[in-house]
Amino acid sequence: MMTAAHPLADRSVLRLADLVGHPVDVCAGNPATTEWADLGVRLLREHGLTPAAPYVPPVGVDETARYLARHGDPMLTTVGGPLIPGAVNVPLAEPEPLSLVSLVHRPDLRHPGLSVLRAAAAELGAREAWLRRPEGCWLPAADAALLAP
Amino acid sequence: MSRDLHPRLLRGFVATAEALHFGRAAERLHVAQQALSRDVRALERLLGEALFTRTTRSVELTPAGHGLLPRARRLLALHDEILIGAAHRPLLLDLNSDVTGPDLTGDRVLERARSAWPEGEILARFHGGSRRPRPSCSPTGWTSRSVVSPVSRPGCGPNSPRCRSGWTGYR
Repeated sequence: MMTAAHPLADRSVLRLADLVGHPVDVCAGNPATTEWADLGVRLLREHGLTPAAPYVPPVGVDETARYLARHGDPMLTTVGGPLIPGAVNVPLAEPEPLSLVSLVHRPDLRHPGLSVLRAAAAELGAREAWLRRPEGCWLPAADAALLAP
Repeated sequence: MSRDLHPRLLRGFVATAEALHFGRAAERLHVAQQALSRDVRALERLLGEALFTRTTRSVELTPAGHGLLPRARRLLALHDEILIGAAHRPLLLDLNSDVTGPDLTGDRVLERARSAWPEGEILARFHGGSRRPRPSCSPTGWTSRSVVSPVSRPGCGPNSPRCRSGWTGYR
């Protein structure tokens, strides 16, 4: 995600190699988003890219828009993420980065809501083939190991 | 002689019927496979008929098993409802995200669950839960059911049922 004024903003898709020389904001240094930052740093480092310097993270749509305009670094975000006014989301490719989404609960939790949530995830996941990984995708080694049969 | 039926036996039966595999069903229930097989045999003995046909390659439901399955599910649902005190007790779901969006995986699962269960209550919270990364969660008793979604990364009261979706990261 970047401001429409960014030199890469007019691309329809960005290869990771296109980002060489452009530090990417992965929310490094935000204690509330350590897992996301960890994924981002791994993704960038493994592909010879640089994380942007840690900064006080903006919260909310307006602050994020202001932050983007002021700092200019592209932010690692999700394709389905919220649209920020004045920003564009460009999909990444070669490799296409994936992230693992988990439903975590205590093993002894018994609640009809949990069954409903699990059924909902199973249904959406089956219909959209969440567990099928596209050719040439990337996800953190630890996550790939979790998914190994 | 007692003719009481322990819900554990039904839970083992339902899990086995859904997985059609004793090992996978045992894993799902967090019990040893031997214990699960014993429970299923105990249930068959109590009911006086075979619920599964077992070969070296496969496990299948017998007609009696097929007949039992929906009733077992109903009884377990009622059992769980009693156990949690009241069916109206809300489930807290920590989305681990401080943004929402109709395309985010966590939001979509929540939305689907709410429409499938209009009489229930799922309370979503954002960024309210554990900040620990998942590897340090596992030893404390959290269980992870993982899915990969190529499009999204979405991102607990002490006595409330709760669970957590996604990661601590929100973007």
